[in-house]
Amino acid sequence: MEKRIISLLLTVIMTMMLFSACSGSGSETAAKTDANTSTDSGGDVVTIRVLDTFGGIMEDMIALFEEQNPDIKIDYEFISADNYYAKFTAMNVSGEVPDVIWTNASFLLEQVKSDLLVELTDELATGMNYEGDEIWGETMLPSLLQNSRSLLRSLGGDYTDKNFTVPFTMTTVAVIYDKALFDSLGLNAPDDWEEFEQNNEILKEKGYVPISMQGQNLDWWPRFLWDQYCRDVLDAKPEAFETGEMTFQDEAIKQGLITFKEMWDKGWFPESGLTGNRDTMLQLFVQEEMPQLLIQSNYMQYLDENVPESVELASYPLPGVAGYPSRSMGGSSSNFAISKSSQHQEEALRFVKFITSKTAFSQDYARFVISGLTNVEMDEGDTLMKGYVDAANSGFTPDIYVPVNVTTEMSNTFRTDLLPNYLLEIYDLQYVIDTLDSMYQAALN
Amino acid sequence: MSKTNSKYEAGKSREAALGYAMIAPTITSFIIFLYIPFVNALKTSFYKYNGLGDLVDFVGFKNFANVLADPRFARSLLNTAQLMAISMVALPLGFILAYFLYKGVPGKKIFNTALFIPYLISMVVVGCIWRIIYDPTIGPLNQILKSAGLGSIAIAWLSRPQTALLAISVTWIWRTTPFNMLILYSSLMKMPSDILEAAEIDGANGLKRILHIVVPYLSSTFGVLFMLTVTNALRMFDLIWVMTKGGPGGASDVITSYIYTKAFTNLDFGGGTAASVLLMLLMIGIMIIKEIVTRILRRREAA
Repeated sequence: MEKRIISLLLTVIMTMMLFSACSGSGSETAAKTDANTSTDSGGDVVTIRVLDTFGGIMEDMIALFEEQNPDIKIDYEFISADNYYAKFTAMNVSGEVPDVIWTNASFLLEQVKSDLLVELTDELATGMNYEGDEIWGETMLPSLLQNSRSLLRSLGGDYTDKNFTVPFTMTTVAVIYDKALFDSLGLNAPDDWEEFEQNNEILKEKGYVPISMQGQNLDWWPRFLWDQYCRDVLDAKPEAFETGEMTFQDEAIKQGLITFKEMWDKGWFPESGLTGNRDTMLQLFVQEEMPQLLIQSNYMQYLDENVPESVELASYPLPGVAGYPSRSMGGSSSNFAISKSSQHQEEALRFVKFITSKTAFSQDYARFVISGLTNVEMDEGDTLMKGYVDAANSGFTPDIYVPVNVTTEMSNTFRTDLLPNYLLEIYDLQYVIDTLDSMYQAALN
Repeated sequence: MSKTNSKYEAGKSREAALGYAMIAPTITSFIIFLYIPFVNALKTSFYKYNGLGDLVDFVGFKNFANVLADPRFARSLLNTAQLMAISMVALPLGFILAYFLYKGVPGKKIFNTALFIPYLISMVVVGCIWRIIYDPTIGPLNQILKSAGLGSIAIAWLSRPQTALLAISVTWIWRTTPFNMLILYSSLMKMPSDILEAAEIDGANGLKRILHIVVPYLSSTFGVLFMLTVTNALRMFDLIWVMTKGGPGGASDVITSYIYTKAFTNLDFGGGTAASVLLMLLMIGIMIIKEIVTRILRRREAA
């Protein structure tokens, strides 16, 4: 009898534990909701949740924002870009989309089509900025805002010229290099492609891996090259692919891939780059095995803090292979949006205005970031950032230019299947071109 | 008599009720965490779905057809089979280590602990460590090879299609051998020592004792470890993802990384869940084959 009572008691306890574990998140959410909805004049704090993949300066910005806005607390969650969509879809399914979310071209179309984001067009056009002294949209570089709007071009119709996001910083890609090594080898930052090639050959001879290439951004190099080879057609007619005037069979497209392969065959890139990520490239640079990094400016801070004293950091914009002024990739690659399901859209908007404000970017922590704001001046004398400033001043190639990233599946297939197998000579050029063509046609239909 | 019967029946009912109450938490957790997600996944596999919004675009078996026609799916299956086959090396390796520990070596307790350490490390950490080991420029493996005059084979192990999966398999074997060693060692410890003594007296040498006595004695343990190796290889994801993400160009893509990429990177949840249903059917098939083989072997033994 005693045994039965004990057994029954244990069963009841286990069942209660099971249900309390299941309802745990629910009660936490209820508690958070209670806290969040306490907005009476007694000064209760509203908590807004932010999902971010940018990292870097965000925590400093949040600390400053909370200091200036004691009525708002930020519940910040960082996730790597690789895992962003898995996290976001799980949050969406469970009805817990954060108030403010990072997004970019790869995900924005799906999020807008699913009506998850607040439209910001009017607020940008007529609302005031964080400081309250200018129209919000006018504090951002027009090209940056337009770049952000163009992400929705493929949706057409009701989405033309609309903003569902605001660009956060002007993502700029340039080359960070070891100036001390360059000086010791008698090399200069290249002004043109020929000099760039000569530098790489000398570095290779000296036993270095000349320049970086990482698997997660394997498409950068072809896209840089296409920006040059396709400029004469695509700048005049950005819709050339949609109208069929330009296709993947064009010689300019093929030339971009051929040049990329030639660079690979010459051994300019680390072999580990095919499966390595940005961290691998940073390590190769820090360990002085690879003196040039093609990377965004926000990694300059990590390098500044970690490279040996023998390394002198500097930067230069990548020269153009076809002689056109070189344009950076990026622009409005990083964006923030407000979730339509947010219970605190006003507070969320205040936060988003803050992270796109002069107040936020006029701090020391923002030294290595290009704000993209008209009212924040870039330090032209900063030698570390000179290459990035020059690259940003040259303008940006549109995010969707040669449309290999018009859908997430196409972008991913290009980056993880077609390009590496082309470099490894498992696929030939024509197979790559034909696959891109058929995927693009399927995406259009 | 009827009073006795009814008392008996009441007692049985109480026992049954108690039994059901005791397994209720397990059944409930199975339903919540296994059956409901399974039904949802099965439902999703019949829709075109990007992970956001409701399931509205019913496509029937189209997702299954697309997955089966996808050459990357076939490649991932082949890679999984290769991984499974190479993983079997962990069984004889585990046996060798277990046997040496059983026979007794100096510092046995230290060896026992030290050899088990790889199994205690999280798979993600193992992947990160071995990715650095395999790095062609800064990794210690290539540096050792170059120091030993073997620079010609100091290659980019994880970035070449010919070696990426093999390199991951070596890491997997390093990680799983300790578990096999532990299980086989505990089985060896239960083996009656007089069997081996009798064999020794009868003139059987060491190798014959191992082949004709020890190995047959451990056959059921080997069987269990074999099935665990198969199912673990089918489920392996974290090591692949951390070390190569299925690259270069899909050379180390296994079925689980294919499913993850399809759903979460390509935003094709319908296709991803269709592939996972196919994986489930494959695993059921393997279990059925295993049952059939086990029954045949039992019948032969009984005969």
